[in-house]
Amino acid sequence: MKLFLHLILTVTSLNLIAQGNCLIYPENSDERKACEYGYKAIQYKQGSRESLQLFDTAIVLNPNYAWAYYEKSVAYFKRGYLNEGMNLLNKAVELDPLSHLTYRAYWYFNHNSYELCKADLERFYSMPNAYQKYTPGGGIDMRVFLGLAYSELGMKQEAINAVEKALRSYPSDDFIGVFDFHILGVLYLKNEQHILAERNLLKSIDKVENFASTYYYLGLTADKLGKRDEAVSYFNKAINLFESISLDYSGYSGYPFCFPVSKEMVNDQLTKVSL
Amino acid sequence: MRKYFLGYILIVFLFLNGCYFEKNDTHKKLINNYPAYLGDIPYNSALDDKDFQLCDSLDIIKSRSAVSYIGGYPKIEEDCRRVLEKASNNHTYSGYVLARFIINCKKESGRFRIQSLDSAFMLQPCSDALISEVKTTIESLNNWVFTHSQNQEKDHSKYLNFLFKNGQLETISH
Repeated sequence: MKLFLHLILTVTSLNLIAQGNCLIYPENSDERKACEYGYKAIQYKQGSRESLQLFDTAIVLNPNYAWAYYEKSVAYFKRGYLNEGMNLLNKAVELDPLSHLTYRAYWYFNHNSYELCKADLERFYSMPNAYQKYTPGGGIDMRVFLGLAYSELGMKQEAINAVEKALRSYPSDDFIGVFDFHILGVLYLKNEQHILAERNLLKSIDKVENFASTYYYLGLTADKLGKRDEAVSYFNKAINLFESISLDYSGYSGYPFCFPVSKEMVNDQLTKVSL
Repeated sequence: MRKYFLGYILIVFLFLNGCYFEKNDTHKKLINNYPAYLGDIPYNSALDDKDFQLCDSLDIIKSRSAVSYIGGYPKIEEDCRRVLEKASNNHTYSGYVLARFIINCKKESGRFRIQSLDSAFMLQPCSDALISEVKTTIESLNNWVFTHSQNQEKDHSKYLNFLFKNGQLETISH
């Protein structure tokens, strides 16, 4: 059920920035032609010469076609052409901020440009018609993501408030994202509210029991609460999970945005607690 | 009557073709000099070492998850930090130094394309000395891993984005 709801929400949010129906433009208009070129472009592999050229044609025919700038930028960002990608995405945001601000915020966050990420997300949520959006791939609610940006900027209380507010807005717990309790728990830990940290991290384990990072942060919390044995057992659990799960050489467990933990970090803490 | 009808069909056909060609012309006028795939980094004799060879320049893997490093990404940062500290030049630069490059099938890196950017990813100046240090640092990384078994003999494109604050390395994103 939860998975189903996630899927529905993700698909809905993706559709909202999809290209739209070309038939809404008048027949033979440049807008209609541009839209058709856009459709052709996405039939080719992302980043291929054919695809990029078709987007260019669409943009020449309709220079106000925000979606074409956005979609072309995706290929650039993914391959590390950050300047070229951003020039395209800035144009998309200028033409249609409601649809594209959150994607820009996502890329700012990816490269640690947290001030600009925060500014874009605050601007998005101040718009009267802002709607529920997720990180590309659907992992995290953008309001929770704003909380992560606040946290990176050292705004601990704002971070907690943003995530709590997002979680409160859900009609039921089924809507709560896979990483939401984990994130909230870590934010409380960083704010030295250890009881609330423990409560949320345990809720996270109810949701995803094999997320090594959660056990690491539970270990840190237990240690702060003076429960040394529990801390040792959580760190050991984290290490076991690191050893049992293929890490694909990334060196981290779990989702990249949720305060990444490496096995070395857990080992260091285990040594410290065991002293 | 039948003759007229065929004539009509022929005229309609020619018109439709006309429209089709007209549409195609808009497209053809715009042919841009893109590589076959974004991320290919074609050889440029003014910039590139001619001894840096690719196994197959027509089949460069571009997926971000296809390249990793022994010890993971934290290790890349650790190794880079060590090399940059050794260089110990007194830089004051703040912003990104973004390097796109190719790791060939022998796991050597080359064809560097480096830009310096501000926090909004717009171009900004940076000293040649720091740019060259970043390049040397990346060249010294020698624990690359190709994560997909079918790609072991292939060339990969890769980027690393170094964030500096007052000349000190803050972090590397990829």
